[in-house]
Amino acid sequence: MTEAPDPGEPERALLAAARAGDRAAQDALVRRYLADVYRVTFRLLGRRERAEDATQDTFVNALQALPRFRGESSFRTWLLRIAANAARSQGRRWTRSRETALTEADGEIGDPADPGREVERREQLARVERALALLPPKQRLTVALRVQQGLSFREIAVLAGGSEGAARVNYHLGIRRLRELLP
Amino acid sequence: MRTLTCEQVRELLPEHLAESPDSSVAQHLATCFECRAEAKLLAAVQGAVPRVPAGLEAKVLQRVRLRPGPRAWLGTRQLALAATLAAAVIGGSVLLRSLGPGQHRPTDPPSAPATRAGALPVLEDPAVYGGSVLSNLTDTELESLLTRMES
Ligand SMILES: [Zn+2]
Repeated sequence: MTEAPDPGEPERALLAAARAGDRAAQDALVRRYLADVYRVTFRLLGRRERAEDATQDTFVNALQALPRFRGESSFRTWLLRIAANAARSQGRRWTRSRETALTEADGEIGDPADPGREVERREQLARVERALALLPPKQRLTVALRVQQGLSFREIAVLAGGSEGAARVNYHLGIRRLRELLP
Repeated sequence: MRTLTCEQVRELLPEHLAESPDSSVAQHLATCFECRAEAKLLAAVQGAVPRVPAGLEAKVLQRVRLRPGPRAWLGTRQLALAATLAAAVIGGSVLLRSLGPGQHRPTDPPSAPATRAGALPVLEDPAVYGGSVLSNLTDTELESLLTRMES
């Protein structure tokens, strides 16, 4: 990770510039939040191609809506909520095809320089993905957002539309279940 | 060094494991089997983070460039004013830090962003920009979305 979030807030001036149409500032926002957005959409959609599409939609929608961002939540939380909505739209588009979501191993993870380690890593990844897929949806999303993306319970509550207490409960239930599934 | 309870330690574990190791947490982990087990689990979950596909950044940047310009309700005059203001603030170091090497020159004269912004079309696709897309995602909606996608 190059830019450790601080915790994740872009400078006001950068937002103002992006809002005013400054392309360099907009590109900077894309680069800064690309991984965050992709991971949320991947967690919701379970398929790389769909997550890629939803990631693109997210930034298009977010840059359009930027003038309406009022700083009531952090920019990152606001953006990730748009990502969740973009994933929802993608999900609608794909529902009819009846594919199984949330089980696809990520083809992009890899360390070609070390095939042995790579196999081990893929197996571990598959184990974790299978276990996550067995969690009820809210527990899965909460665990992923807290552990993999470092969101606070408060941020998760804003993003998922629930209370902070509910996020906490979902997290602890999810972790307890994962500990049974991944001894 | 603080002495932490198991509950406090578990609250801090994701950050401890990810980017900011905490010596108090480390001390607790050395002596507590249960918290160590949870730390091991969290580390495994952290290790399974999906990597961003190569080429996605380029795709997104391209899509963003093609999108319709800023909202029409921002009149050209306000837009230019906002851009000038922003450029004035940015004239300093903000963009220098935010942009990697080889990006656009961060020191464009104040008039440049205004020109760019002013030149953007004001068309907008309601399907892309519909209010529903940005409406709040409630608990129920999220639940049903996830349920649908799993069935
Ligand atoms: Zn403990």
